[in-house]
Amino acid sequence: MPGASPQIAEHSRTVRRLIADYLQLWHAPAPSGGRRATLGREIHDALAYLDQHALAAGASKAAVEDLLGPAPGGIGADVWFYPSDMSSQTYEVAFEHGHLIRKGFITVRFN
Amino acid sequence: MFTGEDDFIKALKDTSPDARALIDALFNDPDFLKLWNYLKSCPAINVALSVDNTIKDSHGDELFGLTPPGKLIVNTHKREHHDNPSELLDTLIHEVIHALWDAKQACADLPWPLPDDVYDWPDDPGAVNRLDEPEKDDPDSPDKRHAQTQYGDSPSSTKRYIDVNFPGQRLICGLIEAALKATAGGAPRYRLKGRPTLTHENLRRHRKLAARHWSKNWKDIRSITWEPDGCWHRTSTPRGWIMECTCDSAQMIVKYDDGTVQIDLLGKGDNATFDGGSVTFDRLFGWDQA
Repeated sequence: MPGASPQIAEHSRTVRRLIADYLQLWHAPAPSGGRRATLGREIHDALAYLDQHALAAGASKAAVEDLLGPAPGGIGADVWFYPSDMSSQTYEVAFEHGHLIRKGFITVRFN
Repeated sequence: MFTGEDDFIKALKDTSPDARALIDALFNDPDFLKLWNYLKSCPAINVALSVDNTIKDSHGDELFGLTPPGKLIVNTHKREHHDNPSELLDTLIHEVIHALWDAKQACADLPWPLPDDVYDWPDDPGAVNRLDEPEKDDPDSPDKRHAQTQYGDSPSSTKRYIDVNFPGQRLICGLIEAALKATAGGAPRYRLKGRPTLTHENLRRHRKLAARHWSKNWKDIRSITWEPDGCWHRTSTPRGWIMECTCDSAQMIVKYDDGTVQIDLLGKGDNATFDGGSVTFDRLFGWDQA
């Protein structure tokens, strides 16, 4: 993240670490619901900060990945999903022609 | 309204010849069309229909299907959809239920097509926190007990509960069973185009199947065919026999003296027992075959 403010860089490091910890707990065999819920709230807060202060329409995929880390989920190559604090909510980043066109927390229903 | 309806239905049909037959049967079922046409005819919404082969949730788990706001997506490359074409119908109907609830407020002028007891979690009045269905390793709570007693297990993750309730799952299974019946092959094997789904298994596991226990009078039976043969284990008893289903599901085809035929599907571990007077069994579902 060349040129990012110290606060943005710190939130970026935080959200990438939190998401890695969250996914490790999700895929672990042992129950981890309480700890994961706490991490989900912290991820939500960090994503909300970056959404407001660092992500803007037109950003490239590389810049978004540099900021938030690799997306754990999504639809095809152009819609990325990051975890949040509630099971039906996800943070979505959508691209068109390689540039960000939509971002925000959305409610998803899935199977 | 829909965007991409023709391409979407074609992509579902192109999954396999058996899927084509089942999708055709589903789109000729008036009970399914009532749901589909609610979405299609509502001018206040626009649902973009699509298939995709890389749908993962925010935990990285591959999904069967997904309904974000204004979209309905089916993962046609999901292995289960190819192993069992019935699963494709299951996913489609499941996502249609989500899309209906997503559309309900905007389409309030139209008569609501779902039975009164069919909910998804985000719209279930029995859920305290509708945005946050509990996960299986969460601490005990009223919502967790509600998910355990009214929903059961998710097919896409061992850590989750499914998000359409048991009455909704019975609706899904009923539509699949109607499509299987409509597309069954001819005598003597009555080959089906698909099998029971993970939703049938969820209903069975949670004792929510309708009319599970059945009995047939031996005197009226001309013959019983067990299909496929390798899915049955026979044990002799002092008064008859026990046939145990050893596959995920298998067919018991009963022909009667009056010429009628009944097809019953049993699940893994289910038994059919002949005691000298009648055949009793637990089934997933079944029907009278014309």
